Amino acid sequence: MKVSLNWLKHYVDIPADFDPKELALKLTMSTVEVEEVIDSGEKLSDLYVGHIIKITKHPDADKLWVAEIDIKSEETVQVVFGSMAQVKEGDLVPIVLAPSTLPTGIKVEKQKIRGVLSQGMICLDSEFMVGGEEILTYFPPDTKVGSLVKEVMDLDDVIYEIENKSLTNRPDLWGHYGIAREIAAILGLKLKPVEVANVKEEGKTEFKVKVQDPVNCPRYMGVMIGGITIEPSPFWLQNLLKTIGVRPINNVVDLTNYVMMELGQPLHAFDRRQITKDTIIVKTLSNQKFTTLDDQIRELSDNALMINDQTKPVAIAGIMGGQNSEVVDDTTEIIVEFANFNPVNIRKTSQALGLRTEGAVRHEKSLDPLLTELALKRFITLIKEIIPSSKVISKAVDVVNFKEKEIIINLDLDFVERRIGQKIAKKEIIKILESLEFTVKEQASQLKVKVPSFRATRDISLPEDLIEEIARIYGYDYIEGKMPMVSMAHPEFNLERFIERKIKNILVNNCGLTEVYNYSFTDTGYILPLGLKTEDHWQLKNYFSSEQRYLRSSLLSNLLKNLTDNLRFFKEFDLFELGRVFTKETGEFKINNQEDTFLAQQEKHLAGLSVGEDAFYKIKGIVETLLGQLEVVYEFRQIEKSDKKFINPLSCLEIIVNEQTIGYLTELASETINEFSDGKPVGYWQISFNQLLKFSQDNKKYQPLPKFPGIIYDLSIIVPLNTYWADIRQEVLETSSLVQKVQLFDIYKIEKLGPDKKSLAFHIYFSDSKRTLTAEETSKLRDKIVKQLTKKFKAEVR
Amino acid sequence: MFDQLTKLKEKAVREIKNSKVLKELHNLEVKYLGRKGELTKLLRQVKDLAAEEKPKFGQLGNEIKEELNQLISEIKFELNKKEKAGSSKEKWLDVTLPGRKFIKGHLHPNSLIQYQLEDVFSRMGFIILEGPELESEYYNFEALNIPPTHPARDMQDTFFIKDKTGWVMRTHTSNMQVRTIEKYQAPLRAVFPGRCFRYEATDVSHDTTFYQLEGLMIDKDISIDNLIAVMKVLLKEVLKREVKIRLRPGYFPFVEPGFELDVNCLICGGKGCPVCKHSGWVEMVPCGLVHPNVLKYGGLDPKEWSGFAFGLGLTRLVMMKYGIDDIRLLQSGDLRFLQQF
Repeated sequence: MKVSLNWLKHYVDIPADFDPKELALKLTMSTVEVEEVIDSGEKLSDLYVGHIIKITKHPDADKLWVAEIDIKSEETVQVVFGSMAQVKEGDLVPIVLAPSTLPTGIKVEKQKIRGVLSQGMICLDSEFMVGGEEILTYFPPDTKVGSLVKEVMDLDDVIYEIENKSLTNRPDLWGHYGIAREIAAILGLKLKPVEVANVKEEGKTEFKVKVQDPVNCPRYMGVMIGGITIEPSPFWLQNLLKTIGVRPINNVVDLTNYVMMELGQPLHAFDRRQITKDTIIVKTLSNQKFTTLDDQIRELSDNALMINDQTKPVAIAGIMGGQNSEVVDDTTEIIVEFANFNPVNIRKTSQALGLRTEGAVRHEKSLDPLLTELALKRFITLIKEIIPSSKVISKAVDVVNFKEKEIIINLDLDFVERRIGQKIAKKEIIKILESLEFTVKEQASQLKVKVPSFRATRDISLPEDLIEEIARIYGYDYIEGKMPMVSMAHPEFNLERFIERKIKNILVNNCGLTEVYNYSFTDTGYILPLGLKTEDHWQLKNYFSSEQRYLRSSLLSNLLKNLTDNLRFFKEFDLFELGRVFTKETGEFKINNQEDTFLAQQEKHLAGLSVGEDAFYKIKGIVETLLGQLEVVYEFRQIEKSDKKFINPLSCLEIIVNEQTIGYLTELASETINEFSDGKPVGYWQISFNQLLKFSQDNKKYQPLPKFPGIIYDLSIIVPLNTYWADIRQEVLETSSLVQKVQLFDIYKIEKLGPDKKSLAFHIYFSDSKRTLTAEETSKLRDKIVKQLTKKFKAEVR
Repeated sequence: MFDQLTKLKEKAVREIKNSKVLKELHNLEVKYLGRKGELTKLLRQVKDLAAEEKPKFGQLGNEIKEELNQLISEIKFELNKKEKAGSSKEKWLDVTLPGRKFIKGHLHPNSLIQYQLEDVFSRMGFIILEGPELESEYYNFEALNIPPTHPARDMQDTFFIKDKTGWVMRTHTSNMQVRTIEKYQAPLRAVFPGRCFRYEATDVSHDTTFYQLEGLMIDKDISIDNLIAVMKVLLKEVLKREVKIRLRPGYFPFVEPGFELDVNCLICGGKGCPVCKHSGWVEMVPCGLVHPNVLKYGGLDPKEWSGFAFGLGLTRLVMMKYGIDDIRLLQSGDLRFLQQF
C-alpha cells in the first residue's frame, strides 16, 4: 500500500524538518514495515508546465511533429515529438528541459531528430512518476506557464511503500487516517479529527435497502445524491490519487477512492437510473455470470454475496461493481453504498474469481462496522465541496445486523511486567494505550481497558494483545535481553539423530559417497518405467509443473534423475539420500488429538546409487561397511525372482535381520539402465531407516589378544567359473576348528585357464588359543583342505 | 665395595668407547647392564653392607647406571649413522608430486549447517525433534490459531493432497509446536529442523522445497526480554560473531506479540547494499511469544505457562554462509555443486 506523507500531514502536525526516512524507520519499528521511501519530488527540477504555441509537421518524417513551447524562459523551446495523440496548440503539458534524468530513470538529451533540434520532451505521467499511468496530464488553463510541475501537481511528496503482509491483522491501517493515528502515538503528537459536516436531506426520494443475508452483511448504509455533473476531478484530487498509484476516472469515482484511501472503508457509487425501483437487495447467489465494470464476464462461485436491485444483480458485494450500473458521463443521480460485509464470504468469492481489488483486500480484514457512518458523512461533506450543485435527495438508509462489540480487558500491571520482562511505569502504559484510543480506567493493580471499535473486530481481545501494543510503542529497542531463569532439565538422548549422523559419517567419510537432497515430488517419467503404479502414489491437488505432481514412494525415482543429469559430467560416482517417502499405508502420525485417524505412512528411507563397471561390488561393499559399523547382525539372501521391474534378479541380495527383510541391494535391470544411464551398470541399494534404528547396536567387547601365534597359508586354486566363493569359504572353515578366518585377496580370469574357469587366491588363518601349532600339523590341514576342495569343486591348486 | 664399583665403571666406559660396530656395543650393554650383567650383579650385593652404607651405595650405583646408559645411546647414534650411511643410499623423491588421494565423500551443505545448529541448541538443553512432512491442516494451521477462513492462510501458499481433505504438505516446521506440547507438556525446550513446502513459482531465491528450524521454549514467565537474550546467543553462535539485532512488529497468528528479528547486514555492515535492499538490515528470524490459544491447543494453561517460538530459515542461512546464489542448486543433485562441500 502506498501512503503519501503530504496526505498524512492533514491529520498530524509532523514537524516540517522531521526526516521522512526517520519517520519510516519509526513506523517499521513500531507498526508496519515500510519497504521503500520514494521521494517523488526529487529529480523533477527540470520539469515545467509548458504552453504549446505552435505545432508543425516534421519536414523529414511522416510520424513526427515539431512543437514550439513556451516555458517563460528567454526563448521558446523546440521539441520534436511522435505519436502523442491529441496534443494541440494552446495545451498546457509537462515538458522536461534537456539534459535531465527523470525519477523513472529516463534520460533526456538535447539532440537532432532527423535534422531538427529537440531541446526536451513532452512527458507522459509514466515517464516522470514512478508507477504513473501512460496518460498525458493536461494542466488547467489557469495554471501558471513555466511553473515547476512538482509544485503544481504537489509532487514534492514522500511516498511510503508499506508491505501489505505486515497489515494483514490491522483492518484499521488500510487508510491514511489509521497510519496517521499510529504516527501520532509514536511521536506523541495530537491526531486531528476527520472533518465532516452534518448531513442535510434536501429531497425525499424513497430509497429502500433489504438485506436478505444478515450474516454476510452486518451493516449496509446507502444514500442517494442528485445534482451531479460528471467531469474530471479537481486537479489536486487527481494528483493526490496519482501519487499513491490510483488512476483518476471522474469526480464521483475519484471521491469514492479518496474516502477509501483516507479511512479504509470501501464504497461504491451506482447510477440511480439503473437501479430498478430504487431498491437494493443484498443476498447470496450461486453460479451467476456477471459482467463487472471492467467489462469482464465473471463466473461466480456458490454463495457469492451480490448487490441486486429488484430485477438483477448490480455488483459483486465489496469486490467490484457491475457494468450495468456504473457511473457514466451523463449520470446525474447516484446511489452510494457504505457497507460492512462478512470477511469470509468476500475472501472466498474474491479468491474464486482471482479478483483482489482494493475493496476486497479491505473487506476481508474484518472492518469496523462503525466506520460506514464516518465514511458516509465524509463522502457527503466532500462531494458538496467538489460538486457544489449536488444534493442529498434521500434519507441515509442504515440496515444494522450487528451488535456493537464492547471488549473490555482486565490488564494486570504485574502481568505486563512479567511478559515484557521489564517494568514500565503505569503512567507510561496508560499514555500509550490512550494514544491508540483505548479507554483506560485505573483500578489498584489493574487497568480496565476498553478496545476501540476499529481494533475490536478481530485484532485485539486478550491481555497478550495489549502487551504488544504497549511494548511496540514503548520501543523494543529499550528491552535489552535477559536469559530465562529455568530449572535444569536433562534433554533425553535422541537415538534417531545419533544414528542418522553416524550413518552419514560412515557413508561420506568411510565410503566416499556424496549426499543428495532431492525433491519429495516426482512425475510419471520416473514412476512408470520402474514398473510402479501411479495409483500407489499420493498426488498433489495443486502443482506447478507435472515434474512435481506425485509424492515419491521411493528414493529411487529422483536418484535416477540425478544419475542421468550427472552422467553428462562424470563417469563414475556414488550417491545417497536419507529422506521420507510417502506410501498409501497408514502411518504413525495422528491427524489431530481428538480422533484416532492417522496420516499416510511417510517413513524415512536410506538409499544409494553407484555407477561404474563394478557397481554391484561397490554397493555391496557400501552396505557391508555400513551395517558392519552399525553392528547390525544381518545376512544377505539371494532372491529367486522379483516383482520389481527395475531389479536384476541375478544380482540382487536382500538384507535380512532376524528373518526380516530390511532392504536390498541390486544391479538395475537392463531396461532401466538403458533408459537412465545409457547402459552403464548401476547399483542401487535401499534400507529402512527405522529398521536400522532398531537393529543397530553398540556392543563392542574386547577380545583377549592371542597368546600363541597363528600360521597363515596362502592358497591359489582354479575352479569352474560359476562356483560361489561363499561355498568354498564355508568348506574351508568347516575343515577344522583351527581354521579361524578365510580371506579372499585375488580373483582373476585369464584365457590360459579356459573360458569357464577362474582363479581364486586366499589366506587361511590357523591358530589355537591354547598352544602353538606345529608346521607339520598345519601342512596336514592344508592338504586336507586341498583334497576337500578338489573333491567338492573340481578345484586345481596352482 | 665402593672401590669395586668405580673400577667397574671405568672399565665399562673404556670398552664402550672403544666399540667399533653396533653388535659389539650391544654385547657390552648386555655384559654390564643386562639382567646378569656385571654391574647388576655388583649392585645386588648391597644387602651385605652395613645399614648406613646402603643408601650411599645404591645412589652411586644408580648414577653409574645412568651414566652408562647415556654413553651407550650416544655411541649407538654415532655407530648407526656410520653403518647406515655406508650400507644404503638415501633415495631421491619428487616431493612436488601430490600426496596420496584418499576417497572423500560430501555431506549436503544443509546437513552441515543443520548439525551445527543442532549442536548449538543441544548445548542449551533443547531437544531435537522431527515430524511429518505430509501434515494435517489441524497441526499446520488450526492448532496454530489459523482457522480455515483466516487471511493468514494466504501468506502460506499451500500444497494440498488430492482426494484427501485436510491433508497438506507442511508449510512450516511450526506444525511441530502443538504436536510437541501435547507429547511433552511443560516445561519444554525443543527445536524442529525439517523440510517445508510452498506452492509458489520457483526462481533463484524461491523453491517449492526449503528447510526451516523452528524453536519452542515454554516455562514459567517467559518474557520478551528472555526471547531477545536467547536470540542474541543463538545468532552469535550461528554466525560466529557478535551481531547487532533489532526487533520490530511482525504478524504471525501463533504468536502474540509477534516479531521480525532483523540482523545488521553482514555484507555491508549496515551501510546499505543490494542484499539488504539498502536498509542495512536483513530479516532473519520471525519470532514471538507463544499465543495463549496455541498453549491451550496443546493442553496447557496460559495463566500458568508462557513461552517463545522462533523460525530460523535454515535454507537461507546455508545460502548466506556459503554464498550460494541460486536456491535450486540445493535440490539439484548436481555433483559439480555438491562436491564443493
